[in-house]
Formats: sequence, structure tokens, C-alpha cells
Amino acid sequence: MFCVVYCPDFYIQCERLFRPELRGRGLLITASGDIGDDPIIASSKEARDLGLTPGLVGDPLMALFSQITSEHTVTVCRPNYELYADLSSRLIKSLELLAPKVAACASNEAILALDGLKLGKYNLSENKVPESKACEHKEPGPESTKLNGLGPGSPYHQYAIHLKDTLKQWLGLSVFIGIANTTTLAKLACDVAQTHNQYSGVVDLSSGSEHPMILKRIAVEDIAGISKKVANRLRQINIHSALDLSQAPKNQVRRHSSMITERIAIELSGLPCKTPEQSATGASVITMSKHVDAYSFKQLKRVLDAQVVSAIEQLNNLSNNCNAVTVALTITPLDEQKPAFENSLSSELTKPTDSIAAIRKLAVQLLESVWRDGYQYQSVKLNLAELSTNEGDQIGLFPAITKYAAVASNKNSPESISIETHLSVDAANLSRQNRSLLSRSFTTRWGDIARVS
Amino acid sequence: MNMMALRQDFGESDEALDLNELCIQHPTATYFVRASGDSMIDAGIHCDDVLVVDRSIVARDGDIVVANLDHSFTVKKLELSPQLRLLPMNKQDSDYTPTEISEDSAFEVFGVVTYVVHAVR
Repeated sequence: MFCVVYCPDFYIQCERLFRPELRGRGLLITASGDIGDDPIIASSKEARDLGLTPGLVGDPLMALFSQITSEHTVTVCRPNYELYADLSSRLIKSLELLAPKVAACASNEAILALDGLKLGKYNLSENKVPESKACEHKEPGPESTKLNGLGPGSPYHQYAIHLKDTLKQWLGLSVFIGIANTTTLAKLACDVAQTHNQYSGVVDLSSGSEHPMILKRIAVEDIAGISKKVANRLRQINIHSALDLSQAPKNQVRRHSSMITERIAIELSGLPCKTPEQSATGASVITMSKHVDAYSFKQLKRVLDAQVVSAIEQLNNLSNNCNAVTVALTITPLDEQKPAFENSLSSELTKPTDSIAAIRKLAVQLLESVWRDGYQYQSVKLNLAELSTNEGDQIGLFPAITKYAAVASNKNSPESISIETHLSVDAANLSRQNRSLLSRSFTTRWGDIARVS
Repeated sequence: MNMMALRQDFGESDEALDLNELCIQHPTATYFVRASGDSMIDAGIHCDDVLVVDRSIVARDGDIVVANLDHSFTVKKLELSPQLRLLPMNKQDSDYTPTEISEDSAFEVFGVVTYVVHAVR
């Protein structure tokens, strides 16, 4: 049995833990703590509701930002990686105390293997979650609500509720949890827990009978590990949902896509064929490609910046480091009859890393070398290659403790960023209502700890 | 017996007393904060003392807690019955009065204070 624990809006939750005044209002995190050339790294739900989604950069961001009225205060701050890394390591260490085996997939996500877990104390007969009852002002626990079709009865479900409550109490972080007998299903269950409020944050597929109902609602392209391209091919053979994929003949799936998809299909049908470690790693190359219609270096750099953010998110989802970066630009030919011309340049990093600063620096250097003035470009491609597992292949020992540049996985980031509009907004005007700030390192520096009176 | 032999026989650093061990029962759930003001002086909490706050402990009546009240942090004694209140602990200064927690105030116990680190000079 496997359990996926995902902490949504991780950076935002970390910022709010020691700065309660930031709760319930718009919060953006950008590299410089200002609105301008840096893409949004993370944004709170309140900010996303205003259209300020992660990855947004440049003029569209400035344009949106300038429309925000005073009734929606949006605070912008710089990422405090020291704080995030500490809370991330606390998250993983807490899970290690609560589960037999833990594999970290990102700074805010982990897969737990539950074999060997003593479930006795989570039996329904006890009818209450031990230890971790938050004291006052607690919402009625999900155990008391009858969930449609998803019986809250299974001991695994009780365990997951205990886990969720304990993490909230110990760390002040809210999580979503999915449970199933394969890692792929557990991940899907966790996604469903996040997108459907009625499950109170925990979806348990351990008993098996609820699979069809839930799997039917998940489109193939929404399954982790299935790209848009593969999804299109699967749709051609009438596989539209996760349920279809789980029931399709496996050799047919393999013929139409790949062994990887076949494995996903097997996992969806409830037969484990991946260890948590395998689920935590995976792709060997990360590619980002974006169609543009741009001339200037500045425009292209913005697109590349956003690509770096999304690529590093993926890298961190895989707990991987990258060793080589490629940047490619496609030039629109003057003569439309001729094929488009692609110019690319690769370079190795000095050492394998997942640091956003190092990778971004190299990517921008490559762009500077590839870019020539006076041409029209139609696409930007970023490629991170030679991926290797973080730090000595020790799954479960969390790498982000010393690497402050780890990026939380973010399921809300958009896939494409439009760069069509180019309004010039004076950055100085924006600072009126929005101060840029870096929160203090509340948990790692004595001079920075919170004041209480 | 010379010093070298003593060290070898009884170990050097492994046996040394560690304050963390004494003050921190749940490392992943423990945070430090620094006190301001003298509202809790009778509880031995002085201005600039470092408080060890354990979030894994469920707060009981009479515990000294760090609470988040209307978006700011405060350290007070928690009273659960007959009604929810935060009590200052300073008999000398009558300016400090209990705070009643009403239904609509944003209130949350951040954690229970388990130790106070106070510098005496």
C-alpha cells in the first residue's frame, strides 16, 4: 500500500506560518521580490484568482498587476529558500516518524510505502484519531462525515486523516493525501483530493471498489507521466480516461505508445510495478518548447526565464540534478518556402545541480550566444539533460536541506505563457501599494526568530 | 591513568550533555521565538528571552502558549474554562488585562512553551 503526501502552495504556506498577517490575502513570490523581469515563482490562491499565476512574467504581468485595486492587496516577496528548506526537511523527517518508509519526490511531496505499518490503532472501532487532536477551533473532522461512496471506514483512511492532522499540528502545514495499492493510483488519488473539496483532503482507493468512479473522471493527459502527445495517440484508440487506460489491453497500449505508458496502465489497474524510488525519478531529459513571434533579446529572455522555472519544477519533482543545458532558437525564414532554421547551443554545468540560479545563468548565457539581432524568431526551446539523482542516490534522505534553491512542485503553473502584449508600465508606480520584502529566516537564524509579546 | 587514556575509555564528545536533548522532545515540531515586553514576568519570561515552543503538544488549560491572535503573535497563559481567555502574568502592572477570545477573532494556538532560555548577565 502506498500513500502520496502533497503540500500545496508550499512556499506560500511557509511564508504565512510565521507571518500570520499574510494569511487570506494575495501573495506573490518572485526572484527579486519585485514585479518586472522575474517570473512569478509561486502565488497564493487569492493572487491566482486575480490571474497572477506562476510563470507569468514581463509586460503581461505588469499589466495585470497595475489593474489590481487597493481592495485586493497583493504582497510581493522574495523567496526565502532557507525557510522553505528547513520546513521541507521537517516535513520529510516528520513523515519518517509516522510511516515505515519515505521517498521524497520534491521539497513538498513524498511517497510513503505503508507495508509494515501497524494499523491496529487506526481501526474504526476506536472511532477517534489518537494523539493529534488540535485543541480548540477545530473543524469537524472528516471522519464524522460520510463521503459519497468513499467509506471513511478503512484503517488506511483513518491513518491518512491522522497523518494530515499531525502534520497540521506539528508543522502548521496543510497537505493532501492519496492512498492506493500502486504509486500511480496513489498520486491520482492525491490529485483528486486536491481538486475535489468533498473528500476533505484525503482520497483512499485502498479497498478497490471506488476506483471506476474516480478513474472515469480523470482525463488521460492529466495522469502523471503521460504527455499531451501520448494522450492524443491514446485518444485515437478510444482511451479517454484513466479508467479506459486501466482496462485497455496492455499490449495495445504498448504498441500505440511505449513501455512507460504500459507500466502506468498496469499500475492503474491496481498491480504495483514501480517502487516508490522509481516513481520519484523517471525522465532523463526535460524539454520546454514555446512558439513565439519575437525579435528582441528581452522578449526571448522572458520566455526562457519562464521555461527555466517550469523545467526546474519538473527537475525537482523528479528529485534530479541536471548536468547540461541546451538553448535553441528557431529563426523564421525570410523566404517562406524555405524551412525554418534552428540555431542551438549546449553547455555543461560545472557540477550537476538543481539550483535555479545556476541553471538560469547558464541558460541566459547560451541565449546571448545564440541570439542575433535583426532576425525574427518563432520558437524558444530549453533542454535540461544528463539528469542524475540528487546526492548519492539516497532516496528518503532529503536533498533540499543544503540546497536552498530547490523549487516546490507546483500543479498550478500554466504550460504556456503569452507574450503578445507589450505595455510599458513604470515599475516605480507599482511599489506604492506593494512593498517587496524578504521574510526572515525564522527557523535557521537566531537573529531572525519571531518576536512575541 | 593519564588524560589520553581517560578520554579513550570514556569517550570524548559523545557523552557530553546536550541542551537540545533536555529542551527539545520533538525536533521536527519545535520552533524558537523571542519574547518582548514583561507581560509574562511572573512566569519567568523576561524581555529578550528565547522560548522553546513545541507544536506537537496539545495545549491544556493553564499552559503557557504562543498564540496567533488577530494576525499577530503573543505569549500568554491559556485559560480554556469557563471561557477561552489569554491571561498575562504580571501582578505588578495592572495595565495587563486578560484577553477574551470571541467567536469572531482570528485565534489559533501556535504552540506550547516548554522551556525559557534566559541570560542572567
